[in-house]
Amino acid sequence: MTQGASPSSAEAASLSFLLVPHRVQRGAELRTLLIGLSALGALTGLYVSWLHLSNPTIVSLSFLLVVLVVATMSTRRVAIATSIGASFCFNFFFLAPVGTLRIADPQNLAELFTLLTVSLLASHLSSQVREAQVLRQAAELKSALLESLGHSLKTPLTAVTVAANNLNAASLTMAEREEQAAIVRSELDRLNRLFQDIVDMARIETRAVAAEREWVQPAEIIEAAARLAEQSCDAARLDIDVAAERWLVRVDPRLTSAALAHVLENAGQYSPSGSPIDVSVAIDGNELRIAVRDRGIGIRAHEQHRLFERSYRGTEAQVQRFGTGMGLTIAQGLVAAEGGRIWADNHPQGGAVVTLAVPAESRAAAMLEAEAL
Amino acid sequence: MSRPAQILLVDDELSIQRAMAPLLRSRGYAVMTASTGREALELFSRERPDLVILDLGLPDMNGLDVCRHVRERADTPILILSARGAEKDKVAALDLGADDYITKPFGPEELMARVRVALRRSLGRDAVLRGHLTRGGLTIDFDRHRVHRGEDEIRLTPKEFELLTLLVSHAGRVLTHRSILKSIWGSPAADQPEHLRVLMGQLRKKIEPDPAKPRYLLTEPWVGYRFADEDTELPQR
Repeated sequence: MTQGASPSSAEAASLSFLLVPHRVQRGAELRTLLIGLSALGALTGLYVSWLHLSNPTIVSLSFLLVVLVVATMSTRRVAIATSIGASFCFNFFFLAPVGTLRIADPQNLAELFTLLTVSLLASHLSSQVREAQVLRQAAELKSALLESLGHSLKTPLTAVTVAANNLNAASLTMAEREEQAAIVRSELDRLNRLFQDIVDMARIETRAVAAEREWVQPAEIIEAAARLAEQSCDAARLDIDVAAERWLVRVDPRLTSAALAHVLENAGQYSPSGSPIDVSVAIDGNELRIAVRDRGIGIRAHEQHRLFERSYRGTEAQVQRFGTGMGLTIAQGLVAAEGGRIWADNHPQGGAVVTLAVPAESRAAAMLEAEAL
Repeated sequence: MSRPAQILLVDDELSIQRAMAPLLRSRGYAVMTASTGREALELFSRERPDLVILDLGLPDMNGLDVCRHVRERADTPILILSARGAEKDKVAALDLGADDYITKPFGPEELMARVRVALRRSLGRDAVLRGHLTRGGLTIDFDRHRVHRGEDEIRLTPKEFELLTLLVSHAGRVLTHRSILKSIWGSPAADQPEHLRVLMGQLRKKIEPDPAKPRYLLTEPWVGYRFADEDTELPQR
């Protein structure tokens, strides 16, 4: 679980990982900090050696400008670091005695203090605006999610309620009664899948997923995923690569198979019923890759970047009833918890290929056979 | 049979009791119900049922403790009701001596199949491993350590045969990775499931018509393996 100063900032943090991966965020912070500090350095160089400028007001105002630009571009801590850098330059190069951090004139001390206070205040204000923005985005995502869930739940709940009442009617023939019972069963299956989606989504959002790695055969992961997904992806359609038994890999088998199950369901829904779905396995360096290819219409160029967005459904699927449209988003979240990635392509011979890549140590099963047998 | 088999159903959810008890009765079993661990242990001591169906989430005590208490007093089969994703609890219960588990939500046929298999053990009718066993196209000759599929003999290594025999002798019941590892490689190997996974892969390649979609040697994800019982042609969950 995320620890945070207040519930709202914890919430923003837990959701922001879906928007921006942490490593990327830290890289961006470092870059902005470097740009800010170089801008300060360049200005100092310009004033000292070229313009021979010594009016502290112009210097401090221009430094403040740099801090403000940095504050709007990046996080609070970057802005604070830049403010401190600016105060240091101002003191060292422009306040008498120049070349030291000492200050002779009390008026200069006030000027330095003002620069530091104003720039810290500005960084604080601008980062507050940014946090509010993240929260608002999160709230929008959530209400979109709730809306889509509410919509997906209404149909099966209505069908079950009506069918269960129908079962009470005395006038029903045996065949009619069986039909009503069948409706109840199939709608309950649907509710069951929706419920699982919600649980998975909540686990990802509260970051209650921690990878537990163990040695397994990819075949076992695929088998477990196929069982989870059988509701919308008939096991008979799966064409599983024999290479799945050639290795042992060290991954979190539960996260990986839960993610794969969502990909399989997706493949089942987006391709003609009964058409084959290929599941292939590859070890690439330190990664286990599982690719799922369907025989559907593939991915249109304009859809590619939206595919992993929450509640986005491909054009074809608008007519299908099953699912919440969260499947690939959930798969992405589950795989991310293991440090893995997921992407989608078109197969040269048609159909979409969705690939999961998870960091994994691997061993050839043949190596262990001598020990085991 | 002179009297119907007695089942003790332990679940604190009334709706589960109200749905499951009539189902079990309709299949000819006598059913008594308990909502708490204490009540369950009392009933167990007094009535000595033939089977205990136990939900692990009880209000007054940990289901695993109930499991342990029952095991201390008798060898009665225990069937665990568990939630999906609670593999650790399932494995803990199985290692404490529970016989099998079934994951909520389950269908009636799946439940009845598990109940039949569990009762078979309690009534002393577990498979006796002598002579032949034929299942589908597969024939296992326990006396001569031979396995045939149709006319063809399948050559198994001693460890493969041992694994097959172990699972067949508990047909229909799940065996945990740990318990299989212990009985085939001995206690020190209990924490090295990779050996078992490789051996199982080999065995499947030899006896399964389609190793990617096993018919006989079923995986219970993250828990263990199960040899398909004759009537375990279940809708898989």
